[in-house]
Amino acid sequence: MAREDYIGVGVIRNDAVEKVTGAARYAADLKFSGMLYAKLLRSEHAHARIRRIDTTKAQNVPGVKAVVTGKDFPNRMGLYLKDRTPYAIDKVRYYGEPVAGIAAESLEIAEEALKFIEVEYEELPPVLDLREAIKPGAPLVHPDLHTYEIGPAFFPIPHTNISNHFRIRKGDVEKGFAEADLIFEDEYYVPHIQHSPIEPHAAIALYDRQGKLTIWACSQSPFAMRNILANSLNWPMNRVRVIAPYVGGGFGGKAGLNVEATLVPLALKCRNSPIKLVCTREEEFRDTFVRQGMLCRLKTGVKANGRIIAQEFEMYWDGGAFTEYGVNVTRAAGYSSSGVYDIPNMKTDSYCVYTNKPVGGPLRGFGHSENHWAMEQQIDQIAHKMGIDPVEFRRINLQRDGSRNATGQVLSNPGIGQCLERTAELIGWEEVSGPGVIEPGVKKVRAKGIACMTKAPAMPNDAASSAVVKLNDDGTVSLSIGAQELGQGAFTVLAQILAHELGVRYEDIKIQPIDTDYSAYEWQTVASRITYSCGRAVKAAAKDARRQVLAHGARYFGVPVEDIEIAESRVFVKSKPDRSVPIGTFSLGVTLPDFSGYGGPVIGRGTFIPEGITAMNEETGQSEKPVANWTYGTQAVEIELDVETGKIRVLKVAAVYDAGRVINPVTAATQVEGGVVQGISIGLLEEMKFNEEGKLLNPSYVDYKILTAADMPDELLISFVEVPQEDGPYGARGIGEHVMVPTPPAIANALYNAAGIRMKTLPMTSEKVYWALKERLSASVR
Amino acid sequence: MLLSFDYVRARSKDDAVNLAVEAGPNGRFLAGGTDLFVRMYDRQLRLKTLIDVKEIEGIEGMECQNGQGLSIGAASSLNMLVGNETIRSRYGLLAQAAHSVGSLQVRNRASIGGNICNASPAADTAPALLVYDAEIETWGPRNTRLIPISQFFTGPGKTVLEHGEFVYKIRIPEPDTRSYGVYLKLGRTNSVDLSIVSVACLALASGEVRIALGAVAPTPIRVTEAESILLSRKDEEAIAFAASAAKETAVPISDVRAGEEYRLDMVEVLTKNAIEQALAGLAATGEV
Repeated sequence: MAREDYIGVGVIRNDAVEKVTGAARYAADLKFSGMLYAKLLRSEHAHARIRRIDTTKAQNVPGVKAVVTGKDFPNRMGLYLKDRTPYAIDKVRYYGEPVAGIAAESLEIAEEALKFIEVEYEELPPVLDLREAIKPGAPLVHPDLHTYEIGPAFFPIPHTNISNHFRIRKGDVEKGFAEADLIFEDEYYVPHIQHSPIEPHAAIALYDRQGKLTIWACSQSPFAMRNILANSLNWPMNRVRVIAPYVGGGFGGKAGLNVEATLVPLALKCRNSPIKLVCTREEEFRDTFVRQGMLCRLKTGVKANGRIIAQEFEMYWDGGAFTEYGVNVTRAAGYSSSGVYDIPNMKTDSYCVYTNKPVGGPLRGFGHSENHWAMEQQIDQIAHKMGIDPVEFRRINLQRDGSRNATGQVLSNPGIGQCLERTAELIGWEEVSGPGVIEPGVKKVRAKGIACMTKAPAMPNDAASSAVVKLNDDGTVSLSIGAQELGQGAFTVLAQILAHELGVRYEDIKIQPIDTDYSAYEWQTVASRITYSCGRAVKAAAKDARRQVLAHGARYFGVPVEDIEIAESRVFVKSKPDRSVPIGTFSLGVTLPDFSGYGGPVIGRGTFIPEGITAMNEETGQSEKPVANWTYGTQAVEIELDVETGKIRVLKVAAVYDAGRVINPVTAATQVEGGVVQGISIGLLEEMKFNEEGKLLNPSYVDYKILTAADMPDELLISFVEVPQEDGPYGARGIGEHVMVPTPPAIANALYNAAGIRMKTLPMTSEKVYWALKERLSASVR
Repeated sequence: MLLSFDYVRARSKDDAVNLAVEAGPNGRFLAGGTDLFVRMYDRQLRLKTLIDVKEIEGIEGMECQNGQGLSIGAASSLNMLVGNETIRSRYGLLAQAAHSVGSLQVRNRASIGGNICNASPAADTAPALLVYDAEIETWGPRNTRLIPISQFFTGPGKTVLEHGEFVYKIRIPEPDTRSYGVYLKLGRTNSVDLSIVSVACLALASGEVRIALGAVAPTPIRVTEAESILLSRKDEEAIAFAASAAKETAVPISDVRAGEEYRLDMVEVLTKNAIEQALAGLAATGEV
């Protein structure tokens, strides 16, 4: 009998049958008797003073149980910066901000009653343009910024629209540029985009007779949500409970606290009545988190031999009306601003800017899709300028063992070199010697492009994980964790780790839905950190349970504990394998031959916190270990450009990531597939468009396009490098977000190699490509 | 959220007309509902009564008799058209156009009658029906009439239909000769999208080439100027002239989907490609 090895095996996902058959329950599926329905009145101005709100008429509509406005809940809340209230107080800061909420007996009544709320606005000049927002004297979105509570790693500039200024000062950047043989400078831009989960935000809030507030929500962050709520209510944490069923796609949009907050003042007014809110798709687009826009200027100094010697990077983030979470995006993009390259002299300034736009927040990639859009095109531009093949130019500058990244951290054996070489091999890279040229009469051209990436989990230094393993009477196993299943396969991978470590059958493990009252603590399911961090906690909990089972077994069989093993849910004597019993024999303790009891129920506990992460210096951003780990990856694409229409089709993608150790090759590959598809979608299609008043023009899939099945690449070549992560479970590190990061710049680089045009603003729509092509063709004629 | 409304099912053509007259201006005929419900949900339409026409005899299904052309029940789903062998082989352009609408799920519900009554300038089946010279058979309070499709649309979302009048059948005359049709649609994605520009081109063995455009004018339009250029000549230069004439005819707008200038250039590109492909297809089917 051997211990079943579940690591590196593509077991079938433990949520597959439930989800495929439609049996899985999501927050929007939940219903309670006596439930009320909430609807929100939203601002129709981007920036305006609220002169008067009168809710009397709405309150008197039959069936309406409560109407609330900002003044009903004035406490500010937020994950990193407390700048937000559930409803606008005194002024509105974006077109769509909640101004009032209604709880009623039916959705129809709630919606009809909205019309009876009278709001008088006095319009203020909206701050919609990033460049205007940072000018001295610009109207302030948050005049009280200097009074807000903020986390220690963030540096707002009082009396401006800048809520965080992150800096890197490494080496001597002036000297670096002075020594450079070539200095290259350019600007890049990414627009606001949406996460586009299948499941819209949904939540139910209940303030019960015991004085407890319970929230059922589709949440990536039940514990962080509890923390923020208890904090803003100034309540003991055991009076707040968050229950989080499966999440139907998160991508960051369901992290932290979001639309759930609007239910809290309503619930407090309607004691003992659960109140449900489900976002419409239009609200999902505009009124949950969005990805911030970003404008940046990147300046690079290079030696004649191709070595990058200096870099200056300025990033301005269009943070929107509230940047409680967004400030950390700007920080993360700042500390990763060397990308995968070894750059001795660096100066980075990353500014989080308030504007009167929807609320910026986390979206898969967390600032890295944005900064790599600039960095990975800049690399290609310089390579072309110097007449060096883009892959070769990357080789010259890649981080190596002993390199120092932007924060001055000394890197140990980064896997990027292997990723680059394997990607080039998979795509069939041929040396690129210059921009693509379109011959007259040619209707379609093909070319390849490549881009690299790196990202670290962006989280507080003490972001912790924990797990509890319980053996049931019959030997089946319950795993209690606070990590969420968002579709990424976390529950599967964590069950594999448990099965492997404890010696039980994978099929015998059930993971409990998250309930902050009963589940083991987890910071948040974000930052691609679950396999790495919660994986370690589960591994430790499994080991703890195993130790208990082995001790019970030794006592039961009367042999030394070293002679006991567990495999496939059976406990046996190693030296006499026929002496074996099902693991359930020991679930509740041991019954000895004289029928006396011993021990007790098996409960394993495990915790993890990444160790040794230290704060970055405020002035320089330098730290020997600023983050838990770095994951590297490379993607290459082959595109076909329709010269007549400007339409890009991605034919083939090669993607290679250093996962440290792949726990499940199937779920890992599907993560890459999803990431690549999202990357292509962001590259070619996605953009939230606003008019001059700050109103979102495309809050639905009619005019916010995402990639469809008919636009998929013909070929997706996925491979993994495995340079072990020292403190990861079995060497594993996260890849969940990374896989969407390099796709857009790889496409942009391919476009240049195909047609000699460079798109610096996302998305690369047919129309934009068409005009760029026209310009290029007319320039070459001149 | 959808507000409540009355749903009534018409048992016959007369019943439908009577119910509509009775319902007044807040009533509307219902086929697949794929456009209607979106508007009602968004409150662009506040309707009190929906009159379901799908149970009316003959309003669903297709008939094709030699010499009599094709008759399509207005409530036939787009997927019925796509899957119909006769349409695929003899009116292939219509099958292509129907297939380009929305997604598979939408096409299961959406009807051809609804597609034209919705009167979107970008309605995908309209350019195809235009080049086939389709006629729209309607029933209304004042009797039945046959309206040439070229006279059916009057503006974005507007048709010549009078209150209480509904589309019963779409009739496509038997083409006199062998033909080959091509529908080219430029969207942002390759499925589930509205046209930025669309072009239907039907090349007939008689030498005639018919061309219609979608999404570049207040209604879908035939471009007879372009067609007449191709009557006598079909060389490269003539095709270029025809494409350029199509561009001259188009009067697109700029919106969130695309700019006017881009649409104009794309009319020329797509028209040229559609003519070339239609002529090549016709030539290829002629070879035995």
